[in-house]
Amino acid sequence: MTPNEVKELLKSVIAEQKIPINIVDILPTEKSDGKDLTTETRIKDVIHQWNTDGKIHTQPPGEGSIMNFYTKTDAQSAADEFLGFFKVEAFIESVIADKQMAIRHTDYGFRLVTLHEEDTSRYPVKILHGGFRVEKTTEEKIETSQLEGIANRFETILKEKRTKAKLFHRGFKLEKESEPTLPLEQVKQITKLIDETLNINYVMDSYNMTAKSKDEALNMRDCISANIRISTWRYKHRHWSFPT
Amino acid sequence: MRPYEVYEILKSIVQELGIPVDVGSGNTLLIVEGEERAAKQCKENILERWQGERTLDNYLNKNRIDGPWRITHRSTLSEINKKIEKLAIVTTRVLEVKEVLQALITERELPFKIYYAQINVAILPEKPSDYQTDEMIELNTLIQEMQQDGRFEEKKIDVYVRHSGFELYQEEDFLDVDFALVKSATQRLQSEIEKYGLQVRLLHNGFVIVKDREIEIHVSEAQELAYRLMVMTGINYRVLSHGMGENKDVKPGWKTEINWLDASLCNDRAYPYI
Repeated sequence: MTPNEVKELLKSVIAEQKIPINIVDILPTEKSDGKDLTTETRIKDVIHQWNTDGKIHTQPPGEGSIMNFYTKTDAQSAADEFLGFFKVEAFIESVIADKQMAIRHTDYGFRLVTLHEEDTSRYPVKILHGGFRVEKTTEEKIETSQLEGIANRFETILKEKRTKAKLFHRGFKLEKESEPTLPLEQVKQITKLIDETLNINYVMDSYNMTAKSKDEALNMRDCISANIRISTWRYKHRHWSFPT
Repeated sequence: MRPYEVYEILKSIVQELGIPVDVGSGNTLLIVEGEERAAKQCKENILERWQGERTLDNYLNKNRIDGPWRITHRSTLSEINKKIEKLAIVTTRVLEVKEVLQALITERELPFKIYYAQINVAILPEKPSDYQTDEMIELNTLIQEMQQDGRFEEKKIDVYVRHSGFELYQEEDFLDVDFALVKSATQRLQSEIEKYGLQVRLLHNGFVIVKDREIEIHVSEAQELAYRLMVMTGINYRVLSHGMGENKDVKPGWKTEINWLDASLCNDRAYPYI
């Protein structure tokens, strides 16, 4: 299956289950600001894991044995980040409301990478042009069990079609609603809560700021906007702490 | 055997095979290794003695290189050599990668033609002291004099002078060649010079995509192609630059992001030379 066929499959499974969700293509011109190195590293990681027979040219991201444990993105489940997206988005909305943070968020959507097991060409890994985002068509609440139903059906069909696939969620952009700047501390607080509550290792991987010099940048406590994403490391790298 | 002799052999092979390219005679590379600040200072001292105060000023303040030389204190010789070997391996995949890029362009029905961005023929000598141009010999002599004057004594500094190899280019156009022929040319060069302790490495550093007509397409389409190519091949391609061609062809109101003519999709981080 090509990435486009996999995307169409997801659409058809959603339609079959009558869930009020649309799949909307993201054109390259709509791309987020800033580099999305976290997702790029995770994509390389998953391709490296798929490459069990050494058929394609891949390099493991990161180095050292510790990375074997920490970096690996789940390469088996095609749709776990699809499920995670709904949890994280709802959670961000609730945290913002609870803490009255006056922050708005924008979804960066998904990247889709595939590997067809019967593709005998030298480059069997394919990636969907641009990507897509999911949009709810009504305010109606979608139950987790309904989404799990979609994910299971989608993954079952992929297996039958001998296609490995992975949806990579590219995270969210956070901006202050009314004021021009956003405290970095608030952004970090949100990612920490996502990690602690949902057990999804979210990080602030980049932000835009107004600093004009390196020195100024080091002392900045606010940003114009920040990007939060799933970390390159699947689990938080918790440092050893020693009593002082 | 010296660089200009290899240059002449390469030129005659290229001519014999009818490859429509010019061959550049290459640059002198000065590599200064050591603790960052001391190495930087040493590099600047050598450059000043070698090329004069004005050249140093142009290099430091205007980021300009006045002539066929390159200079670094940030890459070591072993790093450069490792990069050459790695890029030479990647270069063996060029024809397949070009096919993948063509397939991506066709899939999107984009009016782009593919050219080669940069092709170099690097020479690795077993005995570097035997493989030098006159300029390299002069520079080495100057460095020895400076060493004798005790200028590098304060910190441990190692200085190397090397030749960058030969670039294949087309004077008035984007590089459009039969890459298989270029490979044959370098194989023939290898067979002719290996008896002198010289190893040939063919290095390819990316593609240029050129619009085949005047059409508005955002450069993000080219960036997306580079991204997909990178994911599919595992080679770190990215759009390094995009431009509108010659000034005389640029119409009022054109924007580079939309009215660009050509974009370079390069694996530039793998490129060994400074």
